[in-house]
Amino acid sequence: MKNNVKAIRVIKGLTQEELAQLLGVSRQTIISIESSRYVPSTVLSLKISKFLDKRVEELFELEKSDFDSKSSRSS
Amino acid sequence: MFKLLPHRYKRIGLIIAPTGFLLWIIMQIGLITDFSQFIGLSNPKLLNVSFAILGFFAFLFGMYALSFSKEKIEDEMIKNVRLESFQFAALLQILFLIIGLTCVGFMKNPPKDAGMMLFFIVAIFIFWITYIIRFNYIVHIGIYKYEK
Repeated sequence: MKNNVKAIRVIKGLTQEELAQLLGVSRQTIISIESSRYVPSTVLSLKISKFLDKRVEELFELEKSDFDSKSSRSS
Repeated sequence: MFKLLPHRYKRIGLIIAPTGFLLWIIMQIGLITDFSQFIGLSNPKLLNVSFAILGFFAFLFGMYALSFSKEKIEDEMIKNVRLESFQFAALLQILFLIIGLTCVGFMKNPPKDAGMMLFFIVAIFIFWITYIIRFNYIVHIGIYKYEK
């Protein structure tokens, strides 16, 4: 899954630390999300969407591999 | 539900675990026994064994505190890394047991009670040490490598 969290955060003028504080998570979590190493839960995704004032679909995008039956079965 | 210890226990564990381990190792050498004999105690080994037990339990408590204390911010990603590290450590322990026990099965002179006990103690420590190293490496070092 691709995401535009970093780009939108930078546009909003927020640092990773500030966004982490707003969301009540660690800075490591923001780094992991931005580098697509971690896919946040629905609750956290909605929180990010609220604080960055963007729709979830604008923040996160599904990729072709997400529709692959093998990868979805193993996850 | 299982509750983790507060974050301050991590620092306590970081001090107690190596101190306990060192004390336990030093007691194996028997330095205190020599000292007790030197000062003329009636049972010189007693002091040595007491300190060895104290060191071992301090080490165990330190490992427990290191493994089960919260991070400063314990969020969903940290919990996820914790779970993955548990799975990785468990897998490594099972591999160690399978390979080790297979090797024992093929030995002409397999180890007796004490040897097997040591083998299982090592298996337990492999699990905890792998878990602690993997979890702390990912959370405190690994993640920052992806920072662009």
